[in-house]
Amino acid sequence: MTDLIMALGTTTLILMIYTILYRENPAFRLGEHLLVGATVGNAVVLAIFQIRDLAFTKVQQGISTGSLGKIAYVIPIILGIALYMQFSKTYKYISRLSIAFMLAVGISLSARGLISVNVIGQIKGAIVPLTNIQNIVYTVGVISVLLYFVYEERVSKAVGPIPKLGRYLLMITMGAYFANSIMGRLSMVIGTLDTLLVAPNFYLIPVALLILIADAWIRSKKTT
Amino acid sequence: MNITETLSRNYKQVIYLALFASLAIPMINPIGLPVPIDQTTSNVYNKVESLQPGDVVVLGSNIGASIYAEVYPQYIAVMEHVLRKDGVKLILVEHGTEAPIFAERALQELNAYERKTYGQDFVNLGYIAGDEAAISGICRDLHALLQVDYNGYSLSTLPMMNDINGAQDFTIVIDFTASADSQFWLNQAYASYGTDIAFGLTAVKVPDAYAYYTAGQIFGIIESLKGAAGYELLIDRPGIAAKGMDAQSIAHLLYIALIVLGNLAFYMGGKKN
Amino acid sequence: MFTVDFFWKDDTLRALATDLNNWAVVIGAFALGLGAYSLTVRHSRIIYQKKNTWPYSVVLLVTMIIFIGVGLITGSVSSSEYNYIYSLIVQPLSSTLYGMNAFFIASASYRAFRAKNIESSLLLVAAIFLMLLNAPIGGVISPILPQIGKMIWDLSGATGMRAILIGIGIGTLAIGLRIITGQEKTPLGGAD
Repeated sequence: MTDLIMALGTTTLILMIYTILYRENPAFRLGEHLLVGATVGNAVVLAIFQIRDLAFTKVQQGISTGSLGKIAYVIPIILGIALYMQFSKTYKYISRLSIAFMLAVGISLSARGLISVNVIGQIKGAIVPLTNIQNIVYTVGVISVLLYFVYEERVSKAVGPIPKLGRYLLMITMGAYFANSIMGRLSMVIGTLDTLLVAPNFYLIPVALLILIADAWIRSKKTT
Repeated sequence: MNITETLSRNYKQVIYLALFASLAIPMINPIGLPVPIDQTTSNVYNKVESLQPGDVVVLGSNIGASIYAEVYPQYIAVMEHVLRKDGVKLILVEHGTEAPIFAERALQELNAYERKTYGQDFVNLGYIAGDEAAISGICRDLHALLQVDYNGYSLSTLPMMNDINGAQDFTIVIDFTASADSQFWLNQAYASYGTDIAFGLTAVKVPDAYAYYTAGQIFGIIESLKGAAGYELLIDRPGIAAKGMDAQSIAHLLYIALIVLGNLAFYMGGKKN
Repeated sequence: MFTVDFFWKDDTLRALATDLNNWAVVIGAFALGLGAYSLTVRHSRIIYQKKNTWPYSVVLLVTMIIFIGVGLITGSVSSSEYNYIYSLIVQPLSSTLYGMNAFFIASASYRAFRAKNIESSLLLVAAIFLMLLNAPIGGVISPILPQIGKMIWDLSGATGMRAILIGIGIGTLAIGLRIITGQEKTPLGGAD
């Protein structure tokens, strides 16, 4: 019984979302709101478990063992609660402490990694021996794209048409992103169809089509 | 209104139906097109295949329902491969709010709890909030960050965790995601500890990761459903990924036809269209 | 402290940096609830004021409460009950919603993607060859098609993507320095 509810329930919800391809309608809106509520509820549950496991448990252990390092986890609990002050007009400034702390940690963690990974690592990867056509093309290519980023509007005579070459290479790169984006989206639809195209789920597809055809016919009658 | 007028007015719905048919028909009646295996996928397979007893594999994931169809087949294929390796320790860690559900689902689907011993062969650390700070915490000092694992067991009671403190003890990390946590693993594990990293990504994220691959910063990428299909073939466990590639092929041809037709219509019909 | 810890290995500094790191993880967990709070306030207001969309807001809040309730009562997001409602509601809706883009890109491919100039032509030609690389059928039609696609893929990876990553690295660093030195006040709520 639960399996049947699951099968019919998931199929109904999938078809509700697909109705947007016909036109904006209450079924799609309902599906949207269900999803938002469920996703946010899931996040809250995980947040509660995380706070319990990462903070409160440590504070309790700290109190029982007398470890100051663990008792100090009261501070991030207070800072975490302070985050919610941003919804208050009077005490909004308190939330800036928490945001500033998060920003500081985030920036320092990412900065040290990004320099070695994105900047130095990629420049090292770009520096190749210019012993064949491919390497020469790649080196000229990466320099020209970087020049395009820098000189986008201010074309210096010294660099000539190189930024324009960079623009063309960037368009080829955008083509790569576009092609991959298509593959990615198709994969999601394939996953959905894998659910739809099994019994008893696929029996609901003609039912949904009939409802849409009936709606289209009624609307066409109203307009004529 | 005649049929031509109806079709041209409702061209979008015609295109949607055509796309639906181009995906559904090959899924119902597979064509059996050969699936090529990319070098990037083979590298991940070869690396996992070369693992020795005592090596530690970390599978990070940020799998959600939105990317489930693309990334979950990769995740489960790699997890199956790792579980087949005797003596290799597996750690699961999740970075997304929906990921723990899929991690447990994968473990159940592969009968991991029956095949291996929890705490000795594999551990699920669960979801850790905080994005890059969480990954940094795992890499620095796991035991300082976490007291308990996903199932509530204290880390000190899990035998395999006694020798694993941070990224210096990880042999490889494979992150399955569609978002920035792939970058975070590079910034924290690779940059600071030189850990070997690979990614299982959605197609949209692959172009960014490819630059890391060509620079030698990661050893492999499992690219979307195509990579998952290739990996399934390599471990001889065909699944939904292999089944979906026929549908991908026909749908891609449809997209190309639409682009060409649209441009032909534009140029032949004059720019007033 | 984190930056110094990266370059200078000292046990005390490392322990301090580790603690601060873990504090950030805890605050990140609190941040997960911000969206829920904001959503609850907004939709409660819609219901109270009986605006047009109030039934949808009721559905949203009830769903949220059900998920929170089931999660807290069962004590785990891996319990069979939680998994059931997750698989029933979130999984089909989320995967379908994100996959809708495939259909919209298809209609845009016919209607909007025009090779009007050199740049757009390059984009479309590159995209077509890469699509034939991605799909197995490219190799079946002709072995040369995925080979051309691979050449374009390698070219874009070694040039455009690399330059974008370098740009991201430098740009993120610049923004970070601006925030730390106080020149960029927007993340902290503006110049008030």
